[in-house]
Order: sequence, then structure tokens, then C-alpha cells
Amino acid sequence: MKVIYADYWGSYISVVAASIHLGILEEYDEEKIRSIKGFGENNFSKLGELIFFAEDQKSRRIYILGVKKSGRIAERALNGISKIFGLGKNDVDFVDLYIYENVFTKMGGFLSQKLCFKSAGEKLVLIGIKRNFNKLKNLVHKMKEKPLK
Amino acid sequence: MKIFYYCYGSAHSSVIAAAIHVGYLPKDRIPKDEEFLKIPYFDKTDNYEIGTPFLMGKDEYGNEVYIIGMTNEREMIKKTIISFLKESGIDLNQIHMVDTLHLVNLKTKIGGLLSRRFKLVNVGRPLTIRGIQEKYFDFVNLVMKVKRRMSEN
Repeated sequence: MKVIYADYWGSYISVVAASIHLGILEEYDEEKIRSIKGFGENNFSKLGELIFFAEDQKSRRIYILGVKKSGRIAERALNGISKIFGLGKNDVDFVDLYIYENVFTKMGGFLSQKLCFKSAGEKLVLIGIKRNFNKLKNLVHKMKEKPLK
Repeated sequence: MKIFYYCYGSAHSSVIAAAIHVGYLPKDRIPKDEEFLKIPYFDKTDNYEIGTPFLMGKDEYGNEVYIIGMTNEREMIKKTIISFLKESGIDLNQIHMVDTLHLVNLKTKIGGLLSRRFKLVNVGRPLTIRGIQEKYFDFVNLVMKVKRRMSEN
């Protein structure tokens, strides 16, 4: 079974969500977030590509994905493809994190990924993540506790 | 083998190509307006269905033919599907994806916008059909190329 955390770039909110899921991150900690594998990576060429993050305690494979604003479309496509190829409709839990984007994460991501102002961009992204951290944590915990289908 | 014809909204160009492929539409003449209207999914898919693959039928070789809409992010969503299949251990030779949007002309674009986005079906639908009729043999050629490729494999 796969859990896919998807956001715009596949290198900020999705990475934080996957880290919360795996217990790497419990509370908001800027230093820790910066040190997480994949955080802030330039993923422009990897948009659309599933990136394996790790396996959780229930042996679910955790992925991160950058799909810009097309999370819903990707979700429908993967659910459909999963059925067509007989992988079972419960093979994928797709978590579209676009709703957790805010003006800071959007602007920061743009500065960092598109204009290569990595330091300034990441600072803004972190402000944005901090603002939504508790909501994000609640969502991920629900996902983590979800019984295996 | 599963063949996916994809376009913006899975309402026009992918539907036409898939319909030719499975034999709902002829290869040797331009269909009449009413023939288009009988095709499943033609000018019907709604916004909330974009991304969902729909089965159109099977071809003479037993290949399943699907349509799927992927907006302007077609290459990115295609990459998502391919990487998902790889991660699931599916042999990628089982899938063939064909972009059809480049066959859409201005009439079909405007007609599609009027019909799907603004729900002006009575104005938009005939315009989409007119546009497709003008480009019909380009659709046939594309499908023939796909079929040739399938038979070579």
C-alpha cells in the first residue's frame, strides 16, 4: 500500500508531512525541518514523479509528489489506474496538501525553486509551514492511524 | 495492452481518437453530426471528472482503449502515472499513452469552452463537431499509426 503526500513542488509541505508520518518530526522545529532529506530540493525537473521517502511501521510505502495545483487530477488518475491494473482500489491513499499552501509557502517556493533565491525563499516557506503546522500534523496523524484496508 | 488517449478534458479529441480506434466511428469517411452524438463521453465529461480514466472499449487485438483528461499538465500527470506503475511493479510495455490535443483546432477549442465551461451546449457542441469534421482524417491517421505500432509489437 502507498501513501502519497502531494504538494506544489514536492519539496516542502509534502516532505514535512511525510516526516511527521514517520515520526521524524513531532513539533515544529526549523533546524530539524531544514535537515530533512528532500526539504528544499530543487524539484522542477521531478514534478509529477513519485519520490519514495520511506516505509512506515505498518509497511506502507510513503511517497512525496510535486504536482503543482493538479493534486485532485493526479489523485483521480492514480485511483483509476490502480483499478484498471488490478492493484485494488485501496492501494493508494493520496493526500493532496495544496490546501495547506498559503501566501508564504507559495511566494517562498517561487523564490526558491523558480528564481533560485533559496535562502530567502526557504525562510518564507518555513513561516508558511509554521502557520499551518498543527493542522498539517492533525491530518497526518489521522492518515497514520487509519486502519489498513 | 492498455491504450490511453489523453487530452485536456476527455470530452473531445481523446474521445474521437478512441472511438475510431474501437470502431465506433468510420475510418474511410467523415461521420455525420448525429454519429458523433452517439459516442459515449462525447462532449459530456465534467470538470470534476478530469483525471478519471474511462473505458471506451476493446479493439480487434483485445487491447483495452481508455480516454483520460489531464488539462494543460498532461506531461506532468503522465509522468505521475508512469512512475506510479513503475513503483507498483507493472510492466510499462502494458501501457501506451497517446496525446490527442494537438489535433484540436480553433473551432473545437471554442466549442468545447462554450459547451463544457459555460454550459452553452446548444452553441458549443455543433461547433466542436464542425472542428472535428475538418480535422477528421488527422484523427484517423493518428489512430492508424497507433494500431500499426500495436501490431508490430
